[in-house]
Amino acid sequence: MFRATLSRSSLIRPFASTVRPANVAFARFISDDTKHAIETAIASAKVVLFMKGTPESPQCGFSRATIQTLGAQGVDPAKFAAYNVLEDEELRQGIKEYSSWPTIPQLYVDNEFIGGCDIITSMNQSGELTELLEQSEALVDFEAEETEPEAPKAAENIKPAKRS
Amino acid sequence: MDDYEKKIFGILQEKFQPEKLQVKDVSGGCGSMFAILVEANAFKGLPMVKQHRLVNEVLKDEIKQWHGLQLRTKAV
Repeated sequence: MFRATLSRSSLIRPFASTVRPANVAFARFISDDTKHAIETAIASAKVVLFMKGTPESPQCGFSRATIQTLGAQGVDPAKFAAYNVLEDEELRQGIKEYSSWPTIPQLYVDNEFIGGCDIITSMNQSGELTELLEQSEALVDFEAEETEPEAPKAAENIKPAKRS
Repeated sequence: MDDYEKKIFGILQEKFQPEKLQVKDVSGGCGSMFAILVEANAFKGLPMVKQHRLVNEVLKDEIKQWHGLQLRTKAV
């Protein structure tokens, strides 16, 4: 049941969310089920963001800033997944405990915890973020797409997420 | 600084004895959003994520009650 709410999203595609009643189970300690669901989520893409709201409509300034940074870096939507912690109280508490990190958003790259908004912002400024994303091959490969112009999704993927 | 900012400042001052320390309530009134800057020798040799974890740990009971935290750390 928990896994079903971990809707996968992308930086530019519309967020397909499953609406369900609010979960009122406030688990104090992370259950095995929650832990397993979080591990599955973290492994679901190269770049995984736990955030408030969706990439299309972030519900918090920190989540918005992080999404904008990832979009500007040119993270490949096909290698990106976002999970909305506001959809699931168990995930919201569970991810804090799992990462030993008290705030949302939280970024994972290749199953590894990278940090929250401040760390992403700082790594973005220093160039470390580009380096990390390049190393994990998580960025849109512009050259490859230029040589395959007939690929149906290339045009859509080439544009980074645009936000007002 | 108001009393609560002073409390946070005091906790960080005691724990890290920073060269530079700033604690600012940036919530605009509700008291649940803070901007914190800690520049300390204690961070030397640690990656930023570890530096943040140290601050998060000493403030964990406070952070739980906040909506947001803007944290900057630096080794000096």
